[in-house]
Amino acid sequence: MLALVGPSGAGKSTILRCIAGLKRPDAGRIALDDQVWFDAAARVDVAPDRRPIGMVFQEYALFPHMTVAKNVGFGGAERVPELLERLSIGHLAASSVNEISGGERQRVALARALARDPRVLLLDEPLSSLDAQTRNVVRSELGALLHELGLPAILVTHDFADAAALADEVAVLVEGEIRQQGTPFELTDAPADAFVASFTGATLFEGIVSDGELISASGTRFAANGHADGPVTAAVYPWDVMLADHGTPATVTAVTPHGGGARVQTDLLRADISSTDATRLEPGDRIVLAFAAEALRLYPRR
Amino acid sequence: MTALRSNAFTGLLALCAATALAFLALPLIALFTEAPLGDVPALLGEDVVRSALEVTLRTNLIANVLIVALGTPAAYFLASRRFPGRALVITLVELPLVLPPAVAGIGLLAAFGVGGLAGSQLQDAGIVLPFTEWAVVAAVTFVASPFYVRQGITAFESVDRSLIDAARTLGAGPARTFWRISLPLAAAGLLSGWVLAFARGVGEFGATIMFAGNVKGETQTLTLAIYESLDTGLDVALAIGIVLVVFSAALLLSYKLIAAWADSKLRLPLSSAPSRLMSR
Repeated sequence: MLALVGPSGAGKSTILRCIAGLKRPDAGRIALDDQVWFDAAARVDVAPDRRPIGMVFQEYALFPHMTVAKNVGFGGAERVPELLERLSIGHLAASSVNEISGGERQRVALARALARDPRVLLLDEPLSSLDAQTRNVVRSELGALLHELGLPAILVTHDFADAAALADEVAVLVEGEIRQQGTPFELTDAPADAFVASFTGATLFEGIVSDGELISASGTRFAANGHADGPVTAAVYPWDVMLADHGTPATVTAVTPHGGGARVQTDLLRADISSTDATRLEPGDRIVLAFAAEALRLYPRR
Repeated sequence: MTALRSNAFTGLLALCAATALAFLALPLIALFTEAPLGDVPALLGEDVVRSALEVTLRTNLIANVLIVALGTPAAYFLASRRFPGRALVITLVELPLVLPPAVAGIGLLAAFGVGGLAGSQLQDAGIVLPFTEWAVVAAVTFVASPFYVRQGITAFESVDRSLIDAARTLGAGPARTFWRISLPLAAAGLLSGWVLAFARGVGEFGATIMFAGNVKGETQTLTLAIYESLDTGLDVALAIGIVLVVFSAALLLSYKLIAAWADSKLRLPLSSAPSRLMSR
């Protein structure tokens, strides 16, 4: 399972569409094992209906004039009962796709994509059209199902949390180029650049390194041993930052629930703290934050 | 003061609306009041009406089969393919909509008449169109088909592109995608376009009288029969008028019903509505 993540307009969906054969790339080659689907040089371009893929579209693209069962059976009727059962939508078989919920629509789209026995599953923002509540449930269901299927899959999402939850491997795509590719942990452990750091959740701020010390634009100083002097972008993940007795003074600007605890936003950094600590904090409070030296990542600015 | 001015304005609007309405309704009402209503069944049984009705039905049936059989693929082609000059081709398709019918008639004569652009070739092949029943078919097809094709293009264009993409990734070739996805989803739009085309075809007059003439039992349609009856018997003309008013009203009503039905049937569920605002 590979996830392509990146901001809007990075070319994520375009890549999926090229793999599916819905868009023709200008150059390059697309192949699965020894099956070549596209090769600009050899003038090979297999029609989308001849490529063994299963695609789940951004808003699911369910056929509005067909029932759930007809939608699922469009690509192949044999596996319909099994797939309806497996995705727990058997009771909806005769329903119109216009009458079912967002989570159910997603499962219909998935069942429909699987009905053709695809060799690759392509998922284009499968969670983006769901509301926040449904999204969390559907995300874990989808994760379990994809794991169980053991089918190669490419997921496109603009949300790193979705990608990290669902994919073994994540590629960060910016302006059509892969900036970094690795497991979700590899990406947060060693983000290749400030963009990847920010995209994977880090707080960024700008500063200048001078004599082993980082001075932020607002004048806050941090130890930065071993870094070359010059202007830098600094990145710190909120989960590396904690409340402390000694460290960096900061002013709270917002406290929001996050995961099992809370995330506190200050004038410079963000920190993940326990909900017990969070109840004592209010915007305007002065607090002291600290993080380990290796949690500070610096990227030279040109 | 403001309330008074607002009332005066509403009054002015109502006066204009009432005048316009009266002007539109009066001729329709007059048809029913001036015609000897009791004699209408008998008048409709007259030979001239019966033969005009037959010619109208026969020619319109053929014309509409041609319009749907050729117009549907034409509309799909123009809606789904991009090529240089496409806008020009669409304008050409729409031109007969705004063309004066007399110009359509003289154009058809210039094209298919004896000595016309394609007329001599047709004559050599033993086909003479002008002043035959086929000329009526040609005139009706010429003036009515743009209504169908134009609406058809809109109907096919409004089918969500991702549904077509989805069908392709599910193993359907272009033809199966057309039959199973595009055509059913565009059906309501095509149907309403066809209703308009049918109404226009039945009402055809100018192009027909120029290209097909007004020969009873051969090219004389209901509208041409009205024209001829003005000299021989106004009552017959009024009776045919009543038939056509009822027919037109029925068509208009079915057009509106189709539009309302299509709107309710294919509207997207509310749950997916906000997501349409999200960028890709």
